[in-house]
Amino acid sequence: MVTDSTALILFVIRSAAKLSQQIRLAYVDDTRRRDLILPLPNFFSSTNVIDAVDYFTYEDFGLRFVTGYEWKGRKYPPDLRLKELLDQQQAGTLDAQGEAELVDLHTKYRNVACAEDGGLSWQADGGGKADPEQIYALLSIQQWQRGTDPTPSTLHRISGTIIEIGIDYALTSPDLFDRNSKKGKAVAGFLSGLDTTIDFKEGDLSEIPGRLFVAMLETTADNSALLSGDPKIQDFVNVTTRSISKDIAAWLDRIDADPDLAADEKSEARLCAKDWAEMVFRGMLSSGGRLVLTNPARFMGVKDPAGQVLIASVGTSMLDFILEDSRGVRNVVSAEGLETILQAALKTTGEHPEILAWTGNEGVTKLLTGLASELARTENLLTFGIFPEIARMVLENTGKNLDLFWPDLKKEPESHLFVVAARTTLEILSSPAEAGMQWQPGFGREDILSVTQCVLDELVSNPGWLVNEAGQLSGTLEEVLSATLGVLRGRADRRLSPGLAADILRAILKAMVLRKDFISEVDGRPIISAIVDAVVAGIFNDERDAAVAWQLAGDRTLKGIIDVSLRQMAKHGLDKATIEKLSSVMNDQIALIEAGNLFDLDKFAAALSNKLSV
Amino acid sequence: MEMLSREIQRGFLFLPRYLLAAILILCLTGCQSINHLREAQDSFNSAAAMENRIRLEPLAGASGLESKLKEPADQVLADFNSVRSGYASTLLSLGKLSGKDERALKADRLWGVVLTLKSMAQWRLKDYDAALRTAEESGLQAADQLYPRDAALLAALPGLIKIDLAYDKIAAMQPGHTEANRLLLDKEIRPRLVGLTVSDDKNAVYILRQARIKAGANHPINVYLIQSQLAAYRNYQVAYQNIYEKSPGNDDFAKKEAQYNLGDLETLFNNLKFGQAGKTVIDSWKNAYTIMPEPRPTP
Repeated sequence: MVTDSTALILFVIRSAAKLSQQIRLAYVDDTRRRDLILPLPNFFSSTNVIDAVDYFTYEDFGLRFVTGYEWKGRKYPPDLRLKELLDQQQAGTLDAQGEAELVDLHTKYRNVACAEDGGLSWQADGGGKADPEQIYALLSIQQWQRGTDPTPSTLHRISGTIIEIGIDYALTSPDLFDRNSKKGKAVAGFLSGLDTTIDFKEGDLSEIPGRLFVAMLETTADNSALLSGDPKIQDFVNVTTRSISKDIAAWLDRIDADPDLAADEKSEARLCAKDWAEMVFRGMLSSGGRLVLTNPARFMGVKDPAGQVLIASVGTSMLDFILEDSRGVRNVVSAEGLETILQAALKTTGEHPEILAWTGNEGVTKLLTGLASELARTENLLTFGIFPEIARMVLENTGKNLDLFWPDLKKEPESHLFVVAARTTLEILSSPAEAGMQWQPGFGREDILSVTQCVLDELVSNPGWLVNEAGQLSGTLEEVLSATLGVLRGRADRRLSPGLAADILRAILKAMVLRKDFISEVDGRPIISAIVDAVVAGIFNDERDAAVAWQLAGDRTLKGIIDVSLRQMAKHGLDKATIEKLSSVMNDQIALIEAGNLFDLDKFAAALSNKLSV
Repeated sequence: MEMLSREIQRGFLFLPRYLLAAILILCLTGCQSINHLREAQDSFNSAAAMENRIRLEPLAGASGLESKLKEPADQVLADFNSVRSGYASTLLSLGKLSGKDERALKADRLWGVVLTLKSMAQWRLKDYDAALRTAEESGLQAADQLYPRDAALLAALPGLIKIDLAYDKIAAMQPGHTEANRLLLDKEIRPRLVGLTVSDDKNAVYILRQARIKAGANHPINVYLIQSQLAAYRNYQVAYQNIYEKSPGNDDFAKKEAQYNLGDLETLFNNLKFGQAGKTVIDSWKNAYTIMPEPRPTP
């Protein structure tokens, strides 16, 4: 309670002055925005006989009243008197009374037309007319187009002022809460933050949530001890909230200062920035907290050149990436996806802090931006919702061989082997089948992810066949995937599921490491694709017994045949002749099935080995 | 929290009643100049509402009386003196503003509103030179205090004056296919209203189009500006009828432009979601003067 009555009186006077000033400003704004009824210039509004004749001449206007017409199932006969007047007018024999009558009929039928169009309530005696009030009301014109008035509404001014008076009262009243207690200090700090950063009475309403969020973050940063007794967590909360609050405050200022954004676009951008900052903050608390507890030295001990700890840099990098959003990533990343990327980014940068240190803290942002750009080049790929998972794969695998996969870290952080490999793979898998192909289905999200993961794993484990001497992605990956998928599209039919096709592609990728010759060409395509062709050609052949596909086109069996074929072929020479031997063995197996025998994978393996050994 | 609530209640109950009165006094102080402006706005609105009502009644489909009349509308308006009084009252209220009031209104960023209202009232009272001078003054003294509607109105003013000047000429015409009338149409009426050629940029329709561009396509002021353009065409149509006893043909670019303008009005009403009221306005212009709304071709 403010016991000093002088202080109370002074407070009341200040508040009264503040409120009266805002009331006056509201009065000024209202005067400025008042509707003005605008008088039309002088013109001949009354119609004349020529107007009447024009109206009854054209089909789009009133000719139907002369000739008769049907409307809503009812027939209306021609107005004979009208026709008589029009004939007289044409003959030049219409007198003044006739002219007046013709003009009256024009007025009457204009109103009938209006009624028929639903414009007014037609009266049976024909005396009805359009409601003029409707016409007059449209000439009362407001100052601004709706939604563009830059001044606060009266309600906004008054309520904002009352809120500020309340904050002032809370700050000046020493007995309202105990300022010596931790909680009291936190509340005082929060209110002080509101008092200095938010203009409740005149600021744009859409600014308030973002600024409130910033004030909350700053208060949390200063009072992290309230949240946890663990000093590591306190430090973590402190640095995370401080960095995000600075970052989001800078974004809000940037939005305010952007001359290219209209008022309503600024409002939307502010609310969007606040929502995403909140999501990043939550993600950082949940993902970062766990990592800090397991390895505080790594995450809290390593600092960037500006002295900001690593974990804070990851949070702001993520926020910058989302808010820049030049590729519409915000539309396809959820809170869960954001946390997936955050976790991967934290883990990788924890292992390789140079990703941030050598790139001015922009490494993660640029990598994610580059990845989003690459994915956006393939039509509709981002809508698969795979961006978070791909980002996670790229981030996590990056750390396994940073020098190889990201050689130009300092100069071009976005030119990254994983990014290129991911894009290549995704482009091929997401392209629709050409018209006329037997196998038309598209790959689903999980299939695409599993094949991409396999590509990236191979890059890590066996980069030899994927990376050329210049350290760039060779054309091998594209050749192998395209050719193999081409075989499946050309040979298979609906009995081949997308999941099995993805399995076959993964098997191909894993087998490449067995023999360099798999990439050699036969008949214009890689041998490995020719092997797949030799296997599937007979299985999906409609001229064969249905029992063949029944036994061999199953997921496990077909994949088993492919695996065995690749392993066996890798042990022997890879050329046209060996492929023909494979075809021969397949045909023998098919003949056995057609004769009523069951397929046995081990026997197939043995038969193939024997044939290839000859 | 309970303690907080009690404290807040006690604090505000301490507020003496005379301090509440102080708030009111503080509010009212310095509002005198604004009150004069609001009085002027009220007078103007009353006069304009009455004038529009009188002028637009035939457009809305009044029966009987109007069809008997051959004289221009304003000469038979029994209430026209009331209309003039209203505009004069507007200027009277604005004339009460002292130098101190002017400074206060400029500080409140209302001077542009004052000058716009003044020029519009002068225009309706046929003091065209004064209206144009006031419009020019607003550009010099209050350029940063002209808001979208007012800025568009001041840009449109020369066009609105041209429409009135042409109207007076047409009202004085003796109908007939004479050399004098043809010269009047080609030299005085058509150039003022719709222009002699498509590229003519001195006529009312063109000036109003520039004002529309200034306001932006979806500002409600376009409802007024487009109907003023249609009024310009209507005056031209009547002058043409007086001479040739028929309306301009479909090959007349002025008629084409009127059709596009009515089409623009229809689009505007759809964008602003004016519903049935908008449709009524379109149908009124269309059926009264046989103008078919057409979509404007995109360049």
